[in-house]
Amino acid sequence: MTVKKVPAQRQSEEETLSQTIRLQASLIELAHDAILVRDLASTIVSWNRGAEELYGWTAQEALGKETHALLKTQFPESRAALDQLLAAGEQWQGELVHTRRDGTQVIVESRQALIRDDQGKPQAILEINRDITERKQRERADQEQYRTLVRTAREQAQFLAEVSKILSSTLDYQETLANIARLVVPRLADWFSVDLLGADGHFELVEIHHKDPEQVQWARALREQYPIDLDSPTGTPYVVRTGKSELYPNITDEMLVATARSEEELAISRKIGLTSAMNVPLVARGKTTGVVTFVSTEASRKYNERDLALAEEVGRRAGIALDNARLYREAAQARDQLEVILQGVADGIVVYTDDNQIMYANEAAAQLIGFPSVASLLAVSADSILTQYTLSDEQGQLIAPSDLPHRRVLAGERDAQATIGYTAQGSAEPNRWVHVTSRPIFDERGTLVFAITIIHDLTERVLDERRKDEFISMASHELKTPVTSLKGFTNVLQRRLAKPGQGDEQTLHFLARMDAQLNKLTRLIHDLLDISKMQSGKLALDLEQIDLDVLVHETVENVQASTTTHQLCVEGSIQGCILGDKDRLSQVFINLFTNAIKYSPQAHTVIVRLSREPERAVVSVQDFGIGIAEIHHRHIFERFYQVTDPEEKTFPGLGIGLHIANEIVKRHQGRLWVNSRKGAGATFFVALPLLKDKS
Amino acid sequence: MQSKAKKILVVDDDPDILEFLQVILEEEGYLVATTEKGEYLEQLHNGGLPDFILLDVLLSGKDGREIVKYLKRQAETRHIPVMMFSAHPSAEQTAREAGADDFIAKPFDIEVLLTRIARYC
Repeated sequence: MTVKKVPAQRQSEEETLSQTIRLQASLIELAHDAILVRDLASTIVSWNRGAEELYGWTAQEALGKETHALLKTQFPESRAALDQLLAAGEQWQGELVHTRRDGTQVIVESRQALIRDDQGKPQAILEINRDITERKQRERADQEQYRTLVRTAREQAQFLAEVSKILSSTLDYQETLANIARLVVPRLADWFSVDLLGADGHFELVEIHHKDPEQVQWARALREQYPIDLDSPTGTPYVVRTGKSELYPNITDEMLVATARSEEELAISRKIGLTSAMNVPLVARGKTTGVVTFVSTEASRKYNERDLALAEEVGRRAGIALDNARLYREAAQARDQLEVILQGVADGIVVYTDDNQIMYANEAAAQLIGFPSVASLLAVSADSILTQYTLSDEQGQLIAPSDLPHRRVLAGERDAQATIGYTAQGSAEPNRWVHVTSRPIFDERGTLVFAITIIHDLTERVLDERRKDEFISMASHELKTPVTSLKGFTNVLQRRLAKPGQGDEQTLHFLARMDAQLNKLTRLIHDLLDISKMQSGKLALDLEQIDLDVLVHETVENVQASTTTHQLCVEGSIQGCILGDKDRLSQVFINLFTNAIKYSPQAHTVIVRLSREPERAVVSVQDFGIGIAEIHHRHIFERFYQVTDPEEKTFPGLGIGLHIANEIVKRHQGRLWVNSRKGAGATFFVALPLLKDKS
Repeated sequence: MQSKAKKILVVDDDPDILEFLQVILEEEGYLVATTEKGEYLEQLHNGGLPDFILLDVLLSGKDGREIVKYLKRQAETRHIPVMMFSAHPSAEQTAREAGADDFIAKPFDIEVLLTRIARYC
């Protein structure tokens, strides 16, 4: 440092000053900071030891050099800006970058001050520079680390968001797993696998992924060869047992050696080249249902706690998604099973919405309604189906669309049924017969939402009945033809022997018995035919006005003619007419009279009473025979019913006579009933509505 | 008496029925011709026309109702009363619709048949 010369009179003063300056100079020399003085042209005029140490140049080398040229000063803004600030503000403080003698850069915190002389004229610039390179680098590293942290966190959040998005995008089990795998590999792992704990306690490898499909196949084969050891203290079994994750930050060869179960397995493990791995639980509804494994084969990717936390989160989210997928799959399976059942049933099932649209139909329904497939049925509107067929009931009456069972249910009925014949265009009579039952389905608020319709195919039954009718009709014809001959020849004989001197009384009596038996046989044939007709609703009545008194008397005479054991007594009279079928009503009375005779073998009288009530005529037939126990009263009018008491076994019959009589009376809007006790005879009543008297 | 005897033609595909009807009707004094073949009726000529025809509804290979329709269409035979008979229960209505003047169900009581025939002869 150079010091100016001073006058002698101020010697002592100067002495003191000089001491001070020396002290200051020593201090400057001792300071760690680089302290330098440059003149106004920035030529270095002072350079302390700190500067020598910081920059590498000795004072000798530095003095006289232009500061900024020597140190290659990098200004925060510009040199002019710094100079200007110094000139205006006397002082400046800031960071500068200098280059050392060895070429390395140093960041300095610089304090600079403008030094003025006594007249206040700028003289020099004092510059104190402190090395802050290390601090700055640390700061920069910290910042970098912080930025990395933020970026990682953001990436992880984004990753998890993607995971969630993928998991919620599908309810398909396999697809869900494959999607997660594709997301994880290669971003988070080189290998990714999911093992699920099966109901049998074994693991099922449900997903394994690697960027190379060949490797995946190889790994699957390997797994089959080396299944997971359920008793293993570590790995998948451990995670499932404890619900805790496993982190292997750095997998060493020693670890591979320790876990390998055979030389081959070890060789394979080495070949895979594991460097780091994580096993995290797959959790659903608080239970560990499986294990997700992340494996790295890259030396640069070593898993840490942060990776593990992310992996665990993937495990949690995947667990929930897989559980949802499983529940969905189960629900879908249940639905599919129901669908299989519904498609398998022989009856047609159709579900109509409340606005009369078909929502569901099974194959049987489509075929019964006359469509080749369910799809083609669903493609048309419910009403347009009706235009392809004419619908009629069993009596041949047309059925209006609004009278169809499902329409009646949609209109409020609880249970609607109908037998419907479908007549295709161009056909004379129904090609298909169905019985349709429809019922409503309500929601929890009691609002009608659907009408479900069951369609039962009757076509075969109707055709069967028709065939049976035809058969019985033909059988009756075939039976009657020989009876006609028998009766005819019997009549021939009767006529011949009835001529005077031709035959004896007994022979004539025998022939009369034969004739009577032939009549009985004829009636049986008629009965068989009638029962068939009644069953198919085809018993037609030939209605006319009938004087019941006359009809009963005529019938009594006919029956009386063929019985010698009983006397039929008629009491009272009706004196009124009814509307009925003469032959059919006569059939009813013949049946009641012959029954009365048949079931009273010990008696000799049958009383027939004719009486009149305000609205109806009543004919009663009373016998004094074996009677009918109360329990049989309800059943004796049923078809083929036979009283089975041991005594009655001696009275054979087809059990159809009373049934036919009852059906005929019912078709006359009348009533047939019995009043009897066992052993006390029986009285049968026939009540028929009287025609209004014209008078 | 012989010259006044009415001629009755009986058509049925059952020979037994033809036989007993022939016996009885002849005993009643009618001139009786019988045939199992419906075609016979379609070859009737003026000279041999019957006064009354008893015709089965279902003949083997031939429907009696078609024969009645034919007879009732022909001027020569239209006036001949035709009574149809059948063991088929529902035949009466269709027989009458075809033009039969009367109908009797098989089996029948011979007295009833004779009474009914007497109305026409």
